[in-house]
Amino acid sequence: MSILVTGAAGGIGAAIVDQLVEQGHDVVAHDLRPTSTRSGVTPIVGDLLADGFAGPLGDALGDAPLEAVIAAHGVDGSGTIEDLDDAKVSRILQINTATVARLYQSLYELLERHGGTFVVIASQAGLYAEPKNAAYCASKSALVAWVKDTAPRAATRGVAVRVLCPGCTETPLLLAAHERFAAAEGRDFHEVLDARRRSIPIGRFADVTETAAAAVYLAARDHRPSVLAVTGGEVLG
Amino acid sequence: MAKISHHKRLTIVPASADVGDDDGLDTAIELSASLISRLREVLDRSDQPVDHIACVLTTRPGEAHEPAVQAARSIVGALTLERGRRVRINLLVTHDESAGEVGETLELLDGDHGGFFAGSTFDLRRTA
Repeated sequence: MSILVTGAAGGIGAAIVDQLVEQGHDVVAHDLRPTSTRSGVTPIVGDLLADGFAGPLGDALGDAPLEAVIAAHGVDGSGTIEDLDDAKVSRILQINTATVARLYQSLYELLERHGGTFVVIASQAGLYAEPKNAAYCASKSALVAWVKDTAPRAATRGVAVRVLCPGCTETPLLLAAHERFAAAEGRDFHEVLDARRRSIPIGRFADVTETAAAAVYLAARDHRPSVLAVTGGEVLG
Repeated sequence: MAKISHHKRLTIVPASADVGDDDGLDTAIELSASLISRLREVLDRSDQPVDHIACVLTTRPGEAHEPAVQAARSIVGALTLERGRRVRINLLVTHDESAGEVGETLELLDGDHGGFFAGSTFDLRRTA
């Protein structure tokens, strides 16, 4: 049985791949750039936005039964309304939202054959609006709603569709977003970062291994919540 | 000195709540008072400090337990904000406390990678 992880070169995606391999799973690791070449991992490089990418993706998955898909790809979308031109908004929504639904549609039958799971990594921004993050919040809120709508129908066909809403996880994506927040406010980057940590009830960011473990928990065939927040108490889910 | 973890599990079973009677409000009120009392007791014990409390709420299918579930969710959320980093509190809602997923979820919460779960609700009800 194999598990497909998209966004596998990113901070959270790479940690998910590591944990799955450690648990003995065969992993197909997708991203725009090459990912892990460790044993048990089949890398595939390609653009989920590209027409016809489902073909190469299907080839990489081969005939092995597909146990789960973890859609961990996405882009940062932080910025004030003035920063968000039409092209940027479109890109954020296409990558974070549209490609996930497209991925599900292209792999649904494979998952149905073996009662697989489809896990989406959204964000706490999909549960609660954040300032200077309108497009990103929209992209993730739409995903959460899509999962809530899709999960009951998929369940009747034996496929579990679930969404994880992680809070601040210490990744290059998070640090880059806070650099932009700091620049927009004319404040010191580290000061902004420390203030953000203090705003989280447990007083710190998540390590990538913590967010990855939550995603791997949701990918199991066993019964799991369809929506799960892991936010250090910042957004209560 | 190595940090010692202290985990506490609270089992909560709401009273029966008929649909169409008071639609579960009395049960929610009773459960809220009881849960707050039990959490206060655990949190007040300086001789047995805890760093994680997992509240396991077992409801019965077909009963009007949703107000009780939402009340418990709010209590866990409010105490998460109130207590901050001193203690993590999470809620599991299930129809069967002995189901495998309850044990697996507790294992995640109490494990090495469970430390960022705070104020989370795991809705494990089969019909949810």
